[in-house]
Parts: sequence; C-alpha cells; structure tokens
Amino acid sequence: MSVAAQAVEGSIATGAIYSLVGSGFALLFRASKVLSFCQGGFMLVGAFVFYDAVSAWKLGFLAALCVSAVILTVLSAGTYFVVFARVASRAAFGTSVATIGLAGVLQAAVAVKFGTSPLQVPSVLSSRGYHVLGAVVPVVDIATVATAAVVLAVLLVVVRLTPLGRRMEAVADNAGLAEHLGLSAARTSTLAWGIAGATTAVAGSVFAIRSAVDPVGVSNVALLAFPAIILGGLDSVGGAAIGGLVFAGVQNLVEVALGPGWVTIVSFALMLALLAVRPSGMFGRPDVVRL
Amino acid sequence: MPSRSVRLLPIGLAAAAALLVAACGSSGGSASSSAGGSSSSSRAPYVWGINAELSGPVSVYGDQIASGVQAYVDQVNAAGGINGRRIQLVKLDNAASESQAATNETQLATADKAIAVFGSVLDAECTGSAPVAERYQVPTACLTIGIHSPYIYGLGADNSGGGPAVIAAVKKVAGGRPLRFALMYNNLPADNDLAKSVAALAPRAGEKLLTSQKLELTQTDFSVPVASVVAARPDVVVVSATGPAFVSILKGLQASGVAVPVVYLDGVVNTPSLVGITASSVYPMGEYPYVDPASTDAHASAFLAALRSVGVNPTAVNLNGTPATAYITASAFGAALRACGPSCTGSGLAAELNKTTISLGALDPAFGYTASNHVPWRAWFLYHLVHGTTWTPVTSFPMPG
Repeated sequence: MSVAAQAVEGSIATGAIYSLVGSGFALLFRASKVLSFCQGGFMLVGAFVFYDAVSAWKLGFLAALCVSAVILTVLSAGTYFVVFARVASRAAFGTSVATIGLAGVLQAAVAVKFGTSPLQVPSVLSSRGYHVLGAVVPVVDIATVATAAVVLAVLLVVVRLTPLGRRMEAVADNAGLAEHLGLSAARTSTLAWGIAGATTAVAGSVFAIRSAVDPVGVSNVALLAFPAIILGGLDSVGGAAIGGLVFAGVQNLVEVALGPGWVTIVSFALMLALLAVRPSGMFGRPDVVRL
Repeated sequence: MPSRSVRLLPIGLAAAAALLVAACGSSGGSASSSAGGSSSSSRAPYVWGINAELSGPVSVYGDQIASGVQAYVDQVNAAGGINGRRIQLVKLDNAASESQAATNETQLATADKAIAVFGSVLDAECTGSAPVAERYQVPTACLTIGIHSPYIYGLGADNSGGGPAVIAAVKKVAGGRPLRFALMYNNLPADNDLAKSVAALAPRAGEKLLTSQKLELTQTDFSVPVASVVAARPDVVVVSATGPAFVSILKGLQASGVAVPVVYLDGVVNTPSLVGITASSVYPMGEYPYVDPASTDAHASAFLAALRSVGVNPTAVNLNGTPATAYITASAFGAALRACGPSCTGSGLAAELNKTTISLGALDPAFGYTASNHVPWRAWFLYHLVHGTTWTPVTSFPMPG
C-alpha cells in the first residue's frame, strides 16, 4: 500500500463530496445570484434523514439515498417558496444573508429531533476494499464517487441542455427582463432550490456513510467546500465539480508534504490568492459591465 | 419665609443617609462576593452555576454537563440538601465565546453569589473564566483545561498523563509479548503531551513505536494517516481522536485488511460513535468506567434514577461520557461542601476539594483532587468491545503518582 496512491484515492472520494456540495452552491448562484450559506444545514438534514431511512426504516443504500434526496428536494424548494420567493428576485444579497439565519434554524431543528451526538450509520455497504494501483479503494468510496458522478452528470445535462437550464440563466442574468418575457423567476428559482436540496442530501448521505452523521463534521465539509467553489467558479456547476477534486487533492498533497497542521492555512491562502488573480474562479464567467 | 439653604437641608440629610446606607450595603455585598459568594442566611440555598457551551457546535457536551450536574442537584435537594441547605443551579450559556464565558463567570460570582461553577467544554472558555474564578475565589470545573489555576478543576478526561496506560494497554491486548505499534492522535495540547510521553516510554518497555500520525480536528479525510499506519505494519494501533474520526479510521483499516487490535483511548467518552461497530478488534479505554444502563450497582442505579428525574431516558449512548463525569464531579463538590459546613464560601470549598476523594462504586471507584493535582482520575479502564454494544472489562491501570 502506497501512501501517495492512498492520498490520491482519498482526494477523489473527498473531492466527490466537495463537488456535490459545491454544485448545489453553484446552481443556486447561477439561478438566483444567491450565495446560500444554508447548504450545510440542508446537508445535515439530508444525513439525518438517510440515517433514519437506514436505521429505522431498514432501507438499503440506494433506497435511503433516494428518500433523503426526495425529502430534501421538497424541503429546500418549499423553504424557498415560502420564505424567500417574494424577495429573492430583487434582493439577492439580502437573501444570501437570510440563508445564514436559515442555517441556524435547520441545525436547531435537527438538534431537537435527533440530538447533537454523532451517530453511526448501520453498515449498508461492504467494509472490504479493492487494491488498485497501490491504493486500497473501499466499497464505500466507490459508492461515493459513483453517486457523485451520476448526480453531477445529471446536473450538467439539466443546466446546459434543457430549457430549465436556460431559464435559470435568464433569471439570474436579469430577473425583471425574464419576467417581462413571460418567465416566472420564482418558479425557476424554486426548481433550482429543489435540485440543490437534492444534491446536498446526497452529499450528506455519502459523507455519513463514509464517517458518521456528525454535525461538526458536516459543518467542516460545508466550510471547506467554499474554497473549492471559489476555485472552480461561483456560477459554474462543472467548475465546482473540478474545483472540489482539485481542492481535495491540494489538501492531501499539503498533508503529505507539510503535515496536517498546514492544510487549512494553505487551502484558504490558495483561495485568497485565486480571488486576487481571478475573482471569477477557473471556470466562472467574469461580470462585464457595459458603459 | 425660610431661606433656600434651610429648605434644602432635609433633602441633603436624606441624600446623605441614603448614600451611607448604599455604601454599607455595597460594602457587605462586595465582601460577600470576594469571599466566593457565601450567603448571609444559613437557610438560603447554596448557589451553583453552569457556565457552558449550551449553544454552538459543541453544545452537545455543554448540555451533557448541565444535565449531569442538574441530576446530582435534584437528587441532593430531594434528600433535603447539604448541611440543611438546598442547592440552586443557575445556568448560563457562554455560546463557545471566551469573553462571554468570562462575563458569565463574573455574573455567577457576583450577582448570583455562586460558590461553585461547572462548565466550559473548550479550554479557551475555561481560560477565559479562570481569572474571574481566581478573583472571586469560585472553584470552577472545566471539561478541558488549558491553564493551571488554583480555582480550576478537571471535569473531563485528560490524556496528557495517559502515556504509561497506553504502553500497558498495548502490551495487554497483544498478550504481553514485545511488539510494534502505531499511534494516531489529535493535534491538541494534551494529546501532543501524550504522544511525547508514549514515544519516550515505548523503548523502555521493550515496545517499538513505528509511526505517530497527528490528526486535525477539522480533518474529514483520513486516507493519508491511515495509509501511513498500514504501511508501517503495526501489531497494535492506538487512536486518540473524536468519535467520527475514529470510525473513519477504523473503516480505512478494515478496508485495508488490517485486523490488528485497535486501542481507542477516548472510547468511553465517545460511546455513541461506537454503537454499531462490527469489528471485534476494538479496545476502548477511559479514565472512568463504562456505565452499563442495566447495572445493579447502588451508585450506578442512583445515577440512572437521577438522570431519569431530569428527563433523560438513560441508554448506553446518552449516559456514558460527559453526563457521567459531570455527575461524578458534582458529587465530589457536594462531598466537599458537606465537609466545608453550612456557611461555606468559595475559598473554603476549594480548600476542602483539595483533600476530597470519593468512591462511587461502578461509576468510579476513586475520584479526587489534591492541592497539586486538579485532574481527579486515578486509573485508566480498558474494555473489549464486542458487536458495538457489549463492553467486556479487560483490566485497569492505576495513574502514576
């Protein structure tokens, strides 16, 4: 077993989770110019729903994943429709700030229902691993990466090839004009929030099965997904996916080369450096103001 | 017609009298505060405070401290109190803020006249409370201690002195033969001390420490440290980490086909994370015993009943760890208060605490402080975990000194 090969394997699995979280951020930003700080809260709810589906309802991995995604789709879209729809098209900044409050509400609600202790998800996947190119690839990591790949592929198709994707872009570009042209900004954004909710549910579920249903761990992942999104580009779903993989790779590279104490410093320094040089990220589109 | 000065004379006299009364009152109040909040009435309740992280990311531990202390206080009050006085518990949330912890400590010591405080989960909040605890002479128990102070007492585990126990545990789980082991530990002051101690003690015990892997609290991917441990091919792995981190590490070791014994130094306090683990190679440890919810021991039964009285349905998951240590610590404070007498002050309570040792049977056979050592634990307990739920006692190791 090679430490370097294992670092690459770990980077891909962790990067897949960052990519899922990041794509939800990017989708919402693309559709509504809202930077949602409550994605971590939705991710936590998704993880707990997955835990309940496995431990209480005795569902398998895929069925529990689908239940979590459906419930979070409804919860996220419903939250937007009830709480934010009236103001979002006019006040993206205000909505972004309001999502901080929503994150607190979600965390408190989860604490009331499930408590705040980390919970171990019953094993629904094999604990064995396969030796590939000097690395051990656990079944849970294969499931994590495969799930992320499917979800990200579907997201990319929706964003790039469907009328919904074009409507999202139109609403984000100019919500007022889009309304004049007959598009419903609220309906489009509600759909975007629903899809983003599903991605966070999947992210929370695969994180839980790799580690535990852990409020602190989920917060850490949601926080560390930010540099990944900045790296990829705030409004690019594909960029968020690549940014997640690159960022996880940088983290493990730093850990191997300098030690774990340097990971956070170097990660956020990289984000700041990139913001200074290319504020729109690797794949984001720079804002152009015509005078 | 009276002159203006004559008309103002009664007002001036009244104001002077009011100032005099206020000065006397304030003088008495500050004397009381500086003495650690003793109450002037012998029948008035003693005041104990909670100054903990009741909100924020570590609120799970703050809530557990509050419920453990509350369970003890309710139990004592139901039995008529201590020295004929009941205990009133005032709970304040420091919200994981060092400055708020200092503010709360001040309020508890002055306005509420608390003679004992239980709380801070994190060493930063404990450090923030320490100068206030010293100024007002209020013994304060913290889950993690980052500062030495005559008024700060340990409430939670302290791994810094666990080196000898780790060496002994490694030998025990390997059947006493000389062996090679790996250590994975949190990048925290106590664990860093532990790692230094283990590295120094291992060669003297005929053991070889193959690799030490430092873990960050914010770390979510453990591929690199696990790969380093697997590559070293140890006979035993010793882990000191959070519950979720331990589970991730164990999964990584299992996937790599490593089936050697894994000693989990923080196993008892992280019982919730161990439920559902199917590996038979896990050996949890703790500075206090694992409490079985079905225990018939008198002290354990009293603890379980006390938890029920505060609305906690005790299970292996929610009674082990911090609720138990908070209850045990409160019991020691209660014993010291009893010895201190009816008009006990904070400084008097501290003096008694420094010579108090209690025995709570299955909860903890020996727990006590001395003037030079405010870490109360006297032994490490080693278990073998079977099917994630059955804890079989293996042995215990006395603390050195």
